[in-house]
Amino acid sequence: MKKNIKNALNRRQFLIRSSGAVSLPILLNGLPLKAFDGPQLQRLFNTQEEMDRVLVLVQLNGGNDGLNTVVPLDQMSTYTSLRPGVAIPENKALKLQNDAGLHPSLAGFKELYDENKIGIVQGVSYPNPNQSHFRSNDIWMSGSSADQAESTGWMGRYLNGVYPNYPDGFPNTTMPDPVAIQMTAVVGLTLIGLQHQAMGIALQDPETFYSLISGNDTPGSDLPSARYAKDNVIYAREIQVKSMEYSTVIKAAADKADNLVEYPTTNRLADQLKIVARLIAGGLKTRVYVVQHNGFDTHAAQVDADDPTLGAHANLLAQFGDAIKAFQRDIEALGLAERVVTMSFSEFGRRVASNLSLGTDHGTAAPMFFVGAPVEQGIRGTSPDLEDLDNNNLKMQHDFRQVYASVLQQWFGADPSVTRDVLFGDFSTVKVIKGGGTSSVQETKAASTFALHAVAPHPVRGETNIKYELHTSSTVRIDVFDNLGFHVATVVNAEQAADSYQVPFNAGSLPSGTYYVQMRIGRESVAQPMIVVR
Amino acid sequence: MPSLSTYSGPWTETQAAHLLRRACYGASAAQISQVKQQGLAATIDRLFTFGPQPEPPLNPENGLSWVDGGEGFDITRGQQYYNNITKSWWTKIMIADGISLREKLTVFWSNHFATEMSVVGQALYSFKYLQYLRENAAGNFKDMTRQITVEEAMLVYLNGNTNTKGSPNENFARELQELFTIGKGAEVGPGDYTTYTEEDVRSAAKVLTGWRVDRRSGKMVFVATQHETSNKQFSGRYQNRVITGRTGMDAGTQELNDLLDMIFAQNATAEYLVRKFYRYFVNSEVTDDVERDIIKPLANDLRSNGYAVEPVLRRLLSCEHFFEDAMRGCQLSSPADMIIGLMKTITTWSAPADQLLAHRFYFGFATAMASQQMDLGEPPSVAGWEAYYQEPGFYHAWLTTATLPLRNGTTDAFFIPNRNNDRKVLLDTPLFVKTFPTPDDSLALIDHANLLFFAIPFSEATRMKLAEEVLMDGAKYYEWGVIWQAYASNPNATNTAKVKTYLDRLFTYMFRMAEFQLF
Repeated sequence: MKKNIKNALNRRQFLIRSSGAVSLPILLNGLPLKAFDGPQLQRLFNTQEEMDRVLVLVQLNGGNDGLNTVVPLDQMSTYTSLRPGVAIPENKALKLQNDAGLHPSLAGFKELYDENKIGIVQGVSYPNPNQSHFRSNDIWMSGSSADQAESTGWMGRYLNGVYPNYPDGFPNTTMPDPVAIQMTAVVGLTLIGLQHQAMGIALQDPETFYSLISGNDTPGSDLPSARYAKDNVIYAREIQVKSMEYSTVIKAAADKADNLVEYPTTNRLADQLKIVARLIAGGLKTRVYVVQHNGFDTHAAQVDADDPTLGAHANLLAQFGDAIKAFQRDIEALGLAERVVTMSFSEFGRRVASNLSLGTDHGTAAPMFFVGAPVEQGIRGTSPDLEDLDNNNLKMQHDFRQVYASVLQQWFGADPSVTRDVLFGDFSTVKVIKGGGTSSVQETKAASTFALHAVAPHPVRGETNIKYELHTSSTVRIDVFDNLGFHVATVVNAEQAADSYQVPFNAGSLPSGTYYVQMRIGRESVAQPMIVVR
Repeated sequence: MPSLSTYSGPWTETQAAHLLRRACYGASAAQISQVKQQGLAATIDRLFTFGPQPEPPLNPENGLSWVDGGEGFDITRGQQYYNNITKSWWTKIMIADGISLREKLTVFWSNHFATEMSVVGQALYSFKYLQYLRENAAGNFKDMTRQITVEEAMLVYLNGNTNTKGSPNENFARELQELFTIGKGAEVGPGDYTTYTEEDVRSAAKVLTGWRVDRRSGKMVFVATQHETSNKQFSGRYQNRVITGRTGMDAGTQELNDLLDMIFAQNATAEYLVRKFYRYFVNSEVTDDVERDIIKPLANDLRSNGYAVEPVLRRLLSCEHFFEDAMRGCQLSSPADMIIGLMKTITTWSAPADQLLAHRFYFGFATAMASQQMDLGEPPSVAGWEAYYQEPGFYHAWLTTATLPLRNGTTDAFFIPNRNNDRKVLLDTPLFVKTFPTPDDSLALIDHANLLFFAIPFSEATRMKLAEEVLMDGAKYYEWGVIWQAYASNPNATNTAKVKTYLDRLFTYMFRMAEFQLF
C-alpha cells in the first residue's frame, strides 16, 4: 500500500508545519497544542494514521429494536413470553450461531455474514442510560458520558485532531476534499469539531445532488407544481449545488465513477449509500461519511398483528439490509473492498417486554453492526441475558466508547493516547477489524482512579462548579487553560482523599470563549471544555 | 386568461402575505393577520396612505444635521461618508415602514430614474434626489420625469450639465427616451428604434441645452445663453413634430414641457412604464396575453389619467392576475426583498440605542445588499439592476454562484451575536417562536414559518423533512412538544440553549433552501 506511506508522510509534514509556523490556535485532541508536553506531541507524530481508509457511519434513528434484530435463539421461551405477538419465531430467524439469529428481513446481512464480512458487537450502551431520544443521541454522537453535556462530536474531535485549524486553510493540497460528508440535511453533532465547527459538509439534498451530477435536468422531486415557481426552484437548486464549497471536486469524483450494481429503489438509505460509493470510487479523500436511516421509534405496530416477521420494523430492516448489501457489493465491484468499513449505531435499543400496541418502548443496550471485508467476522459478547435485567432493560456488555476507541485505533490507526483525548478517558477495545488487538491492559485506568465531570452550569455565565471524583487519595491538580493554551487559573493543587468534590469557579473576569478544565494526577490527565459567555 | 378584474377569490393569510411581500418587502405575522381581517380594498387604501416624510439623517458622529447647509457637513470627510449615512438611513426607513407601498416604490424609482451616488459625487445631490423620489413615489410619472431632468444629481450623472448650445451632450437625451420614458424598440432601420430615432436623440439634446448646476450655489440653474434657440425637428416616430425654439429665461422650461408632451403623448411611453411596473411587482415574463390583457389596458389608464401612477398600481395590485397561484414565487427575491423582508417579518430584534452603533447596524444591511449586487443608490448602470430588464434571465441575476454563498452568509449571520448591538442576535429563535400560535407543535411551527418566510407552500414531504430531519435531527416530529414544553415551563439557561439549538438549526436550514429564494 504505497499510498498509505505517502499520506502518512504528508500528515507528518503537515503537523510539523502547523505546529511550528502558525500562531493561530491549534487544538489537538481536546487540548490546545501548547498545553501538550513534548512526549505527548511526539506520540502523535509517530502515529501511523491510515489516511485512505473510509468509515461509513449509519445512524438508525429512533432506537432500533436490538432483540428483534439479533434474536436470542438460546432464550426463545423467555423472549417469546416477554414479547407476545412481537417476538420473531425461531424457525423464521436466520441463524448465525446457537445463540443468535437475524431478523428474516436481514437476508442481505446473512449473506455477508456467511462471507465473513459482518461483525456484531452485542449489548452496547453506557452507564446510566438515558431514554430520551435527544439526550441519548447527544450522548452517542458527542461520545460523552451520561452526566456530561458535550457540544462537540466524537468524530469531529478526532478529525479536528488530524486536521488542526479546520476549516482555516482548507481545502489544501493535503486535504483537497471534504474531511467528512454527511448525506443528510444538516451536519449532526457527530461531526462537530473542537471549535464547534462542522468538520464536514452536508450534501443538503442527496437526491437533488444525485440528479444533478447524473446530468438529470429535474433536480430532485418535490418540486412546486406552478410553472414559474418550479423553474425558480430548479434554478436555485442548480446554483446551490454549483456554489457549494467542494462542489467541483465532488462533481469531478462523481463523474469519474459509476455505481456497478443496482441499488434498491424507494430506499432513502440506499439513495445515500449509492452516492457514497460513487464518491469513494471517484477518488475523494474524504475519511468519514454519515448516512441516516430514520423511523426506528416503533412504539406501535412494530409488527403486523398476524405475522411478527412483517410490519414497520421488518420494512425498516429490509431497507437497511438491502441498502447495505447493495453498497457492499458495489464497493467490492469497484475494487474498494479493503478500504471501506461501515458501522451502524442507534441511540438505544428497546424494552425487553413488548407493549400492548404490538410495539416496544425505549430501552437500553443493543447490538452494533460492522460491515466490510476488513471486518473481524462474528459476534463479540454474548446473547443478552433476558433473566438478568436492570429495571426491565438489558444490561450493558460494551460501552459504546469502547467500540469508538476500537474503530479509531484498529481502522484509522489512532494511537490510544488520541482516543483517550477524543473520548475523555481510556476505554478497553474490542476486536472489530481483522488484525486489530483487544486491549485490556489500560482498561479504564484513568476513569477508574478519577473522573472529571462537565462543569455546571454550562455554558458559564459568572460562576460555575467543577465536579470530580477521586477513587484513591492522590495529588490533584486542576487548571484552566484558554484555547490558545495559556494558563488561566489553578483551581486545585492538593493532596486529596477519595471522595466526590465540587469546587466553585468564577469565570466572571474571563472574556467569552472556549476554555478547558484540565485535571491531572501524576501522568494522567483528562479535560473538559468550558464555554464562557458574557 | 390574465384578468384585471378585481380579485374576489379566497382572502386568507396566503393572499395577504403575497400582497405584503410584493408591496412592502414583507410583514410581521400581526400585519398579515390585520390585512386578512381588513380585506383587499381596505389594504390597498392603506398601502397608498403614506406616513410623514422621514426626518433627514444626522451625522452619527456628532448628531448634527449635514443636509441643507447643516453644521454636520464636513467636506474633509469625503462624499462617500455622507453617501453611506444616506444608505444606512435609507435601509432603516425601509425596515421601519409598515403596510405602505412607499419604500418599494422609492426603490423602483431609484432603479427606473437611475443615478449612481459615486458618479454624482455629491452626497447632498443624491440625498435630495432620493427625497424627491420618496415624496413622489405614488405621484405623477410625467411630473417626475420633468423634475428629475433638472435635478442636480441627474444633471451631473448624465451630463445634462455640459449640454450646451455649442457642443450638445446627448447622454441624457438618449437615456430619457431609451430608458426613462418611451423605451427603445426593435432597431428596424439605421438609427430607427421603432419608438424613436437617432435624429430624435439629437433634437432632444438641443431642447435640453442650457441646464446646469451652478458651481457656487450648488443649485440647478437655466443659463439662457447656453440654450440652443433654433427649432427642433423630430422624426416620423413623433409624427414629425417640430418644437419651436425659444429664447429667454423660460425657454428651457417651455421646450422641456413641449418635449415631454410629445413623448408622453405616445402610447409606447405608458406601456413602457406599465411593463416595468409589471416586471417589478408581478412577473418578469410578459406573455402575449399579459401584454394584451394587462399592459395595454393599464397603459390606457395611465395615459388617460395624465400619468398619475396610483390608480394604475391600485388596479395592478388588486387584480385577479396578481393573485393567481402561479404568481406566488414567480420571482427570485432581490437582496432588498430578502433582507428588508426578514427584518420586517422578524419582530423580536432591537437596534442599538447609540446613534453611531445604530448607523453601523443599519449600514450593515446596506453593505450586505451591496455585496449581493444590490447597492442602494448605486445601480450598476443607468439601466438599473439587470434583474429588472435583462432578458431572458431577469431575476436570475440576483442568484448566482457568487451571490448565493453571500446570501447564505447573510441569513446565517442572523443567529450570530452582533458586536455592534450588545451581542444580541437578530433572530432569537426561542423568543421569536414564542410569538407563534402553537409553538409546541413542530408541523404547525413549520407551517407558520412557511407563511412568514416563503412565497410558496411546502409540500407534505418537505414539511416532514423539515420537522424530522432538520428540526429534530432524525427524531419524530411529535417529540418536539416535550422539548418546547420543558422550555416554556422553565426557560432556564439549559432549556433555552436546547430549544435554541433545535430552532437555529431549523431556521438556518430554511433560509438556505432553494424555496427561500423565491419571492
